[in-house]
Amino acid sequence: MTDPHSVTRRGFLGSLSAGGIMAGPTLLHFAQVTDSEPQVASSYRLIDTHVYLFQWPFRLIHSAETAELVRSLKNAGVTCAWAGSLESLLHRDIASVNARLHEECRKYGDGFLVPCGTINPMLPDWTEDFRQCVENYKMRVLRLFPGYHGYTLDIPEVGRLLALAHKCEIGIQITIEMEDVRAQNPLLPVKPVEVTPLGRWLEDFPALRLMLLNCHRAVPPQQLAKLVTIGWVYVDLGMLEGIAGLERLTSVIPIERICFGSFAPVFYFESALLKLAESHLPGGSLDAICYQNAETFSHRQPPYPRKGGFPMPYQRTCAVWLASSG
Amino acid sequence: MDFSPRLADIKQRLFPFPLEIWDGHTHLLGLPGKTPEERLERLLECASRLGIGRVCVFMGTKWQYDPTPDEMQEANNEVRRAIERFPSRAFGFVYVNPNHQVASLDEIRRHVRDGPMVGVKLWVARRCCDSALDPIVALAHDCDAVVLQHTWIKTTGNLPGESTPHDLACLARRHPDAVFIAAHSGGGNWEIGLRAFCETPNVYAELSGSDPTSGFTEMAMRLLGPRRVIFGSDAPGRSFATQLGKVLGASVDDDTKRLILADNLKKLLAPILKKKGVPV
Repeated sequence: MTDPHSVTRRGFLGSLSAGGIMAGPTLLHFAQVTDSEPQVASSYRLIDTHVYLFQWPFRLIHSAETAELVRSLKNAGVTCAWAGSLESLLHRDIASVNARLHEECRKYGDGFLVPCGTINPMLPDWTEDFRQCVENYKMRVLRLFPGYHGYTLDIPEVGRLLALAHKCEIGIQITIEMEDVRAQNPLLPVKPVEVTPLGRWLEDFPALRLMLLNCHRAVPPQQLAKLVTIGWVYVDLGMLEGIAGLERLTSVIPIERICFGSFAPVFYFESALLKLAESHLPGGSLDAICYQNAETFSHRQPPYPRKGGFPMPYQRTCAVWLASSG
Repeated sequence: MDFSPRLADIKQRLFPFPLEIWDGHTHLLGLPGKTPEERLERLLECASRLGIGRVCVFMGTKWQYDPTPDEMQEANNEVRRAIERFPSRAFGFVYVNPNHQVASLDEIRRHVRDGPMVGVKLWVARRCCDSALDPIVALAHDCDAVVLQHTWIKTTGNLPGESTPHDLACLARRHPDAVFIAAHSGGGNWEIGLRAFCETPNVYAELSGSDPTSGFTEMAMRLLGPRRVIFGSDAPGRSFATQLGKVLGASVDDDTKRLILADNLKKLLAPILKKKGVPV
């Protein structure tokens, strides 16, 4: 296992405040990781931006064993899966959670599983967890669970965390909810996360990339549309409901902000894949949703040019991103 | 529109073998269209994309928890107009309210006994363990119609007249010869809901209207067997995709998927369809 202290926390945070560390070697390393990822045999790429490893606390899930999950996702055509840890919900030793996640992805994923570590900004010394994820585990995307960790998005620590992510070019996924409040264990009710405070942070950190996971039940379309115009806000398909849901979603936000994300194995993976077939979408949209947008989100690719150029509201943020990335 | 090879690839992965799919639970509310017929046309268009051949539809274009006799009539007239436009693809269930028993029985006679509808839909006006439902169930049984009763167990609390699966099990025990479909099977709390039907063989668990949480279909299979589980979507409020994923993604064999997706519902509707001369 990687030594979690191979880079000192003082050096890490100091270099961040100097504005240098991530723009240099870490980005280079990310490029190296990208180059060394195995080529898949499938003719199509499908990045699942929202999967989990380990056990859901409330019921046994058939494909919760990592090897079985990897096998079933590959059989379904997935070529890369961004995996968080279900242990993150209730465990307090987040450093251990992230270490197990990293090791499990390394052990079973063979490059297929991309670990998305958890940061809980309510914990003392959470910046050390951030440093370990970014420096030691080379994570490009981190996941937050505000509902389960007991904070709202307007607290100063969230601002600190997003500032770090902004500076390090780390994508942040925020889980808005994990299950229908009507179906929760009555001993552990968890409300959906209120996203209104994100508007302020998006203005403060214009190149920050945020992905809202399982947001479609809790975040009204108008609010989602507003956030997308302020900054680089993406969504997955988890909890997108109603017939032809993708057709309706693309009438609210641009296709460039929608990523395939299944919420497997908590949800049946096929439920997300079927959504791609239930809606009629403009030509080329499936590639954007299936992998291009995820690559842009994780800074592996600049935004893919689309016919007719980028939609007007995004030209400003696109320019900011290009400038910030040098 | 995207008719790309990628879409063909996705469909091939999802439907590697031929499947007939009947959806036991759909609505007209929430669809675009000026008329019920236009709404049903849109519903069927989306259903076709996922290979859903037939749908059961009920409750009109406006919903009331406790509809008056006039509101019931209006809702049922809308559904009837719509299904008569697509007789080969849509079956109608008559929506009734046990708080208006006489009017409910009239609606069943008008649309089921003397009309094209094949089932009775009960929602949240009154908990179904109440004896007010007995004449409704008896008439439905006389007509060979199935009774589809909404059932949920909400952690946040049910509506006053909203039935739980236990309420339905109570009703089903009083009418052992009638056939009941437990819409939603308790909803998101299906682990509790499904257990209520273990001792009531005349109740069929329907999978619609909750998040596609892994394990639902497998547990229904384990407790009730493959012949007492029925696919339904609750579209358009729910996605055909999410609900179909509960079956296509389940760890059950292909024969079981065929039973859940069409054969079980076909068998339940066969007597009334035969009586009405509808080929299956």
